[in-house]
Amino acid sequence: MTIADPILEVRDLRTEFRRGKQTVVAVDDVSFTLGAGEVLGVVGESGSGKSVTMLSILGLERPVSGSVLFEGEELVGRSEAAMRRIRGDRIGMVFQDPMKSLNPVLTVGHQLMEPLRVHRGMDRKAARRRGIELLEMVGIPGASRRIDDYPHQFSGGMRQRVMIAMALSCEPDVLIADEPTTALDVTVQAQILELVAAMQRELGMAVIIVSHDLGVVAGMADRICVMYSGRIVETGRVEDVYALPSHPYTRGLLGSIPRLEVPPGSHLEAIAGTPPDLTRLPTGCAFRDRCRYVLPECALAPPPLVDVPFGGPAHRVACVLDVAPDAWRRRTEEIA
Amino acid sequence: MARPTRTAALPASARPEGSHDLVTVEDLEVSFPVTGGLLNRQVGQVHAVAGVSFGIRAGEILGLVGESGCGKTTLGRALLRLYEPTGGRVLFDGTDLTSLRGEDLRRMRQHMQMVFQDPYSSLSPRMTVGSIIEEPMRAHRIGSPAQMRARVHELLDLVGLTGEQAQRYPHEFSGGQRQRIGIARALALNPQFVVFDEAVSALDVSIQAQILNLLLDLRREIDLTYLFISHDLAVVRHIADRVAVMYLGRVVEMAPTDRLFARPVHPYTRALLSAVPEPDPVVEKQRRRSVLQGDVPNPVAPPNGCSFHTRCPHIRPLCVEGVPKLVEVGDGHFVSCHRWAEIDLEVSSSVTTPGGGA
Repeated sequence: MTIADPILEVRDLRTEFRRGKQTVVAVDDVSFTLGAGEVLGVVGESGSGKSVTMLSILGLERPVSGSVLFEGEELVGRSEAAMRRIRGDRIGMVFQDPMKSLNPVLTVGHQLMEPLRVHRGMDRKAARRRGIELLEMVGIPGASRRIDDYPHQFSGGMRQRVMIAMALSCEPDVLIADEPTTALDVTVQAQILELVAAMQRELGMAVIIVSHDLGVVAGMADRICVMYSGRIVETGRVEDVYALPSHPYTRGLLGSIPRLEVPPGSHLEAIAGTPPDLTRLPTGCAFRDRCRYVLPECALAPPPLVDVPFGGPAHRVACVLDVAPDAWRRRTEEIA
Repeated sequence: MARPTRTAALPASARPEGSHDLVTVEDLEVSFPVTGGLLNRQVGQVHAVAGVSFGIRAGEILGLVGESGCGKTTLGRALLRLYEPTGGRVLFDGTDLTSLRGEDLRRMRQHMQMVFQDPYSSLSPRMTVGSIIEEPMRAHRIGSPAQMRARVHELLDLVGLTGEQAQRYPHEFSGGQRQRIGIARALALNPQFVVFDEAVSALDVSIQAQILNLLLDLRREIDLTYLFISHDLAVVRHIADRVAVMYLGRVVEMAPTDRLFARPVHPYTRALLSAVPEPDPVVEKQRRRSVLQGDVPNPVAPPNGCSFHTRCPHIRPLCVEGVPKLVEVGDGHFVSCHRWAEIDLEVSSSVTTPGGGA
């Protein structure tokens, strides 16, 4: 499947950090395409590189190699000033912790009006009017009054609404939401997810939602990428990946969640061990030390993404195992 | 503010044959002073726990769920008297904990332990894992140094670590391993009752599953009783035998786990369950959520009457007037709602279940 109308194309992205004398490869060989108006979910556990991938796209981290095409234009290597013109205007961002992303000494109105004045050249009055509209749009009661309040005067859920209003203020083509509901209670999370979905439909923007929560992604995304130790290990339409998880890690991840069909009190499938240290990644597949199906060839090289046999369109997996459904069944029987 | 209505202790019908309540909570209240102004005078009170009664049976896992600020952590700590209750009683195996002082309380504490959320801040970075696990034994002067060392090895084994790791320091361990160390410490004195306060919440899901498996094994192997406090309903559904739902300091619903998830009655429980995203795109894409409006009210000035009435879709004038009692509406199923009967009728006659999705 090729994405009909790609708005963002990430190719062979690699981002490294220096830690003392060591090099940490946080993102390696990451490629994906985001179609206009599409919702892409990126899932993975801590250290999987999902957030660093987003920061690299936004130019907030500098990738060492690879390419990020936004509407056909290369973003990697652009100056900070050029990136600043794109961020907050064409690409909106929402992060996990609204308290850390908002300036505590400025009113939310001030912060909400800033992108409108900078990117849209609005005057104070017009920006304020638009700011009130935006707060109303994201469901903040008494918006014309609350625009003069400071961040601490809002609850966690309301602050995240303010962040979404800011991210949407210039009607971006792409919204990157990195764990937007992780710090929130579940009923507030439901409100925020509904809001993001409604805004996405209304504005027709593309969304990348990053989450460790497979439930959140299941409800929001059209397609997903599963990341492990800096690489995409599986990708495809969300229905295909959840119905036929083909990487042992994806299977383990889904098996680790107490889902409805798992008998209460029974053993969860869990994944043995812990994710590898990014400064000392094993050769070959990074998951092999935790993989119950490991083969000698897993140590050779990180496997490339290949089509899943009998899988849905663009369902791809980075694993040397035969991941056809009958092969999985045989293996599962052998182990049991 | 109105005093919370007194609720009767659980009737005998709510208990299975042959098991007794290890922990009984009777009308428990915990209030904290709110200070303010120049002189830091007390300007009010937060009723973090506002009159809660329930029992935990020997061998049971009771799940306690609710959102931030509902009082679930305060309740858990008050059970162990880590916070001083301001009203009501906690009975442990028949002994009134609230009346114990000094040495008696200290001795009682051997039987009840706690495991905390953050495996990074709850272990001293300067102590070896062995001495961390030994500490409760030293504090209670149990065993010779050799016996303590042997017990440490045994405990590390029990939680899936190895005896050699006793010489290492916490920073050498991952989050999941640290949580295992916290569990080993909690089990050092052979307690009967353990409170887990969001003990798996900070862990990645693959690690969380390992710890949940461990907790279920431990209960089977060494006859433990748990209070499992969590905001994660999927985890509680998996591990708990019964679940209590808290909202603004009160238990609003309590039932055996399968019954609570299949047939929740309180409007808050129903909203809470419908808000949990299920990791299944097919279920998720056809689900209708009952999204709650608004935020949790300020606990310093909770609403009159039923504290949920400000957000409740079923509100009637009587909900503003009186605090609803916790009443038994079915086999071991307790609800505190004036309109439970009408809502329950609506639930049982509707086709879809609110928590289950499809």
